[in-house]
Amino acid sequence: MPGGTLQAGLDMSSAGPRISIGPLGRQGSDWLSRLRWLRAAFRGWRRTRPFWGGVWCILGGLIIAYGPTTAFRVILVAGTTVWLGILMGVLVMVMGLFLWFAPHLRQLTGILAAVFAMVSLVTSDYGGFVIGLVLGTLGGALGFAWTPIQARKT
Amino acid sequence: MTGSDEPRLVGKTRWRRVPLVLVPVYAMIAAVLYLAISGSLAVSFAISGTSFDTFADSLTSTGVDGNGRAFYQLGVLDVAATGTSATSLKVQAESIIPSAQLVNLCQSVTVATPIGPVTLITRAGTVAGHPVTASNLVTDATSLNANSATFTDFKVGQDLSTFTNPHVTVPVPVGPATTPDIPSVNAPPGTFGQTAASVSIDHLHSTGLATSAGSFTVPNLSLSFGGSCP
Repeated sequence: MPGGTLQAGLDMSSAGPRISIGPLGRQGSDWLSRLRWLRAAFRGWRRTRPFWGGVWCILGGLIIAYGPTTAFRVILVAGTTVWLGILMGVLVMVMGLFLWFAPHLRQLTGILAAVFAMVSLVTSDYGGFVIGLVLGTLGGALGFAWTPIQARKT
Repeated sequence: MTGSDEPRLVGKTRWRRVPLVLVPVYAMIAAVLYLAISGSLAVSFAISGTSFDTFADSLTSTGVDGNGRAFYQLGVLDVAATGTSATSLKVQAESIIPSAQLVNLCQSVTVATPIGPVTLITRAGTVAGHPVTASNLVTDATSLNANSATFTDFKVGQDLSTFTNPHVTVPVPVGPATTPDIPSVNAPPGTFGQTAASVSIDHLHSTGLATSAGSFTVPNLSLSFGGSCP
């Protein structure tokens, strides 16, 4: 299957050690094999970082920031804390991006994402109507719990 | 390749580690909720462009700001979030109350979500002697009803630009009315409104499609999805 197989070559459902992953060979010329290559590349990208932790953090951060952002113009009224709600949502989102693009920091950013989501409970419409709070804490915990599989020394 | 955390290493979620974060965080969330419900921690609330109803048995101002005023009201032009034409510009009555107490507060917010409209009902200050306190309350309402309202030192037709401690801010529509985020500026000279040194409103019901923001202590808070306020 040109371009569609994974470099690791192992059965992905097996519990055996996998070292690295990525699409094998060059991109094919026809669109179908190119699509297969892209899918394999995306799969490899997904499996080499806490992908779902990042997804839930980014989604949760967006929901947390949504309410205060709609009321953005109140930001100039003296003494309002609307900006703090936007900040917490953005921070949860940024932590999600860190989980994706700096997976080696996952423990720190995972905990921070969960903590910022917790703070949003008081700064941002009850944590984005509770939904953003749940997604942010879940995403942070998933990011924290993600671990690379150690290569077996041979 | 070694066992170090290289970015190309395949990994998986170790589910036993998930509670290591979730348990302490949810314990803290429970503590924060307890503080909020007991009325000792203020929560911030801000939303705009959604259908928003506020009911309260009474609203009473509890202090004045640096200008010696406890209530400002002015007409503003707000942009509805879903609007694309001039019809989405709505005249609203904006009320600014620096500090207030509300008895038996019920707020109903309807948010459009991918799974359809979701209504969130927030009740607080339902127990006698434990009212909701709000600071920097900003409400834009299309309709404002009350059984009775009492103002002291009520001044109509005041130029709001003369207040400087703090300034009164007003929204400025810019360009086509397609964006709900219009910046606000200090009220320019000639922005007229009314102010009062104290306000007391009985059986308040305000309806708006626009901004509501403020910092609240919410004793006896209860959140529920669905239903409606009385």
